[in-house]
Amino acid sequence: MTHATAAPTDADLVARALTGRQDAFGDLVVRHRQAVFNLIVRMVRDAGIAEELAQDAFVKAFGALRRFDPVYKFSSWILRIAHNTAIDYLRRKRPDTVSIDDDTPGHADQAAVLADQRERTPYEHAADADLARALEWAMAQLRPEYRRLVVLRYQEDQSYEEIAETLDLPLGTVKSHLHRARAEMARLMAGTGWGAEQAAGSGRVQPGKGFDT
Amino acid sequence: MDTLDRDRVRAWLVAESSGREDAADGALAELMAGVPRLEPSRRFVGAVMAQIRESAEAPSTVWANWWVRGALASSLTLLGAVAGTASWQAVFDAIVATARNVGWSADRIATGFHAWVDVAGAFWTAVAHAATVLARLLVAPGPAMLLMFNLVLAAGALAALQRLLVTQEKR
Repeated sequence: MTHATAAPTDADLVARALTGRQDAFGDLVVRHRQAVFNLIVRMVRDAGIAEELAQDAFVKAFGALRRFDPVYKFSSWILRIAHNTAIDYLRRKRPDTVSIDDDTPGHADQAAVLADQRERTPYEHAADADLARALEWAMAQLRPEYRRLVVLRYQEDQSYEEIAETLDLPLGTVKSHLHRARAEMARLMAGTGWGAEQAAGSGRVQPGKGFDT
Repeated sequence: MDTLDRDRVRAWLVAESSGREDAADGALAELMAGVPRLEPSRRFVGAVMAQIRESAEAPSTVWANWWVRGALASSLTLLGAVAGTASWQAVFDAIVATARNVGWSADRIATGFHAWVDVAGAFWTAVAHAATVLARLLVAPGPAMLLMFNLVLAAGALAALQRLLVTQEKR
């Protein structure tokens, strides 16, 4: 007879880490590394820099672990630290720079993906007929402040309230910005030809029209 | 272009253009589920833990405490305020008086156990000396105003520093 051992919660791991067990924090890093990296890389658009910033974010989180309030979700807290780390970097550097020179294993592909999002035209994306890539491209065209919201909402499955907490924004701002981000993505997707039949049925949706707020 | 994908995108675009907020939100969430999250390299966790071990081994300095930095900043500002408003003679007198009392106190400590009462007396004498110097300054309105200004400046500096530290701590 086997007993399924429930995985420790984030709060359990934080409590263990606070007793000096670094392996518990290691588990938290494993659990949240993808979310943290994904948010940062979507913001800074450079895989190498994003990895460094993500490391910084976790190190900062470890240093501030005693101030973590278990009432809140650890994921929101760590994403907030990650977001602030990326914002600090973007304030220091010119935003939206993409390094495609990084030949670090694993990074070359991601750098290519990020560079690809910049260089390809909407029509080339429509032609390659890949929905995921078209959405990636549309997301990459958004203003950074909208892009981070799309990542948190649609990739990290955060609620509006959690996003407001993570980004330290009023709930109304989160809602209105997400609405605009979605409208902008819809406009971009329609412009690539993904909305062609919809346009035929309910009036042509043209880039710049039909989804503006 | 996959027909099923096209239908899903179309459903989202229709919901979006017709202002059905929840339907548009749900439809995009469904579509975005197919967009992969980007991952860090395999050495990521090891690199983070190595940095954490390094920082844990590094000796923590007294400056890591925000209250130490705050207290130092306010003390320096206050010292500057007093030095800026007091006459050199008054400052010199205060230093001499304090040094004399400290020296005397040290001597008493060295001399015997019973000196603690005298030490306390000497300490309060030194405080009284300092208070006298301040009181003299406050009698004259000009220096008093300057002192008040400096105190406000010190409070402002402390508040700003604390705000910066709070922002840093949040991160």
